[in-house]
Amino acid sequence: MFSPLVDELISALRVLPGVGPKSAQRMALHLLERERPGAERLAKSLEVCVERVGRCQRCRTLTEEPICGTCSNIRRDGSLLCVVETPADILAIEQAGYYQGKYFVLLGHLSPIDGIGPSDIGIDQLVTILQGDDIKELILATNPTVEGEATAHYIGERAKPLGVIVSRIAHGVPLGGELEYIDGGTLAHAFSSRRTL
Amino acid sequence: MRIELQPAYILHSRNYRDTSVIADLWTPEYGRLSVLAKGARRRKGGNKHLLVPFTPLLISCRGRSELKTLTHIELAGRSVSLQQTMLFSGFYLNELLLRLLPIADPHTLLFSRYGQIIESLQQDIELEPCLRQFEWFLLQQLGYGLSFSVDADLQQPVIASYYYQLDVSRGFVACGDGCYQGTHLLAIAAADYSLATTRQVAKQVARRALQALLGSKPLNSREMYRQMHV
Repeated sequence: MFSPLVDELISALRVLPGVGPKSAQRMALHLLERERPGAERLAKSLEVCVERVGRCQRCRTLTEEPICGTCSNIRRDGSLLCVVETPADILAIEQAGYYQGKYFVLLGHLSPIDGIGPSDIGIDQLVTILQGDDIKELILATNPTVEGEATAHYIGERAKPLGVIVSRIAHGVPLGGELEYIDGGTLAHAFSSRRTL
Repeated sequence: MRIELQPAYILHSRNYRDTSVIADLWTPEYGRLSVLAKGARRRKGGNKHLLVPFTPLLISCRGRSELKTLTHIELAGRSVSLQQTMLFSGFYLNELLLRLLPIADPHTLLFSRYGQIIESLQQDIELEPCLRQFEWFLLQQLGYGLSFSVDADLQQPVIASYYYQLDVSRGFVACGDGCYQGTHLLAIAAADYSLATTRQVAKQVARRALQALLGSKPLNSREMYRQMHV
C-alpha cells in the first residue's frame, strides 16, 4: 500500500513491545508528516545507542562507558552492593533516594523450569566481585516472586562462605495502605518478618 | 468449555505481552491446562500476586482452544511461601509434573498428594522420604509403578539378604551382582528411610525410573540444586 521505504519503517517500528500494525503505521505517518526533526533525532540517537551502549563491566547495567557512572562514583559507598534483576530496578531504587551503595544487575532471575541457570545471570561475575573487592554487605533486592526468592537464596548460599553479610530487603504492608485491602500472602509475610520496637 | 471454581495449583507461569500472564495450571478434574490471565500484571486490579506456584487456588476459565482464558481466581486456604531449600524442592516437583503429566489428563489422587507434600514442605521436615514417596506415587499413577517387595521374575517376595537389579520396565530381579540389597528394598516398601544407605538406594532407583520416562534432557532444577550444594 505504501512505498517500500515507508513499509519498511512500519514493520521496523513493530519490534517495540505493544506496537501492532496499526500503531506502527500511525507512528510512521506521524514521524514523516509532522515531526521530521524529531524523526531525525530519533534515528541518530538510535544509531549511536545501538553502536555504543553496552554493559558496565562491573555491574552489568546499560552504559556507553566501560564502567558506569554509579560504579565509578567515588562518593558512593563501595562496601555496600545491592543485587537487582533489571536496570529498571536501579532506577526505582535511585528515585527512592535512600540507598547510597553500588549495584549489580543480574538481567533476569533463576528459573529452573525455563532453563535459566546461575551462569545466565552472571553469578560467577558477582562472586568474583565479592572475592576481590572490599564488600561488607550484600543486599539482595530481587523481586518478591517465587523465582526472585529462589535467586536470592541461591546467591545467599554462594556468598555466605565468602564472609560477607547477606541481607534481603523487607517485604510487607505498603506505606499508606490499609490492612483490610492487602492480600493474605503479603500480610503473612509482614507478620512473619515483624520486628520489635 | 467452561470450568467453574476448580481447585488448582500453578506449575509455571510466564509473562505475556505488556500486562498479561500465561500460566500452566494443574487441576484435579481437567488435568493440566494453559490459561491466559489478561491484565494480571496491571498495577490496579491485577492478580499477579495470586498467580504464583505452590499456592492452593480456585479458578474459573473458559475457551474452546487449548489456551483457556482465566475468568476468576481466588485463594483456597492459606497462601504458601516455601523457604530456601524447600523452594528448590518445589521447583523440582513442578518440573517433574510439567515434564511427565500429559495435557488434560486428570489425576485426582496425585493432585491431593501434591497438595499434601506442598503443605509439608512448609514445615521443617525430612525432605528425602517425602520426595521419594511422592515419586513412587507419581510413577504408579502414570502406570510405571515399582514393586519393592516382589521379585519381578519369580513373583516371589524379595529376600533381605539377596541382591537385586532394576529393570525399569518390569521391576526388581534377583541377580548375583545386582547393586541393590533386598533389605533396602524392603525398607523402602515399608517406607522406612531411617538408614542413610536406604535413602541412597531410594534416590538412585527413583532417578533411574524417572530418567526412563524423562528421556535424555536433564531436569534443570536438580542440576541447579546440585550446583548450589557442591
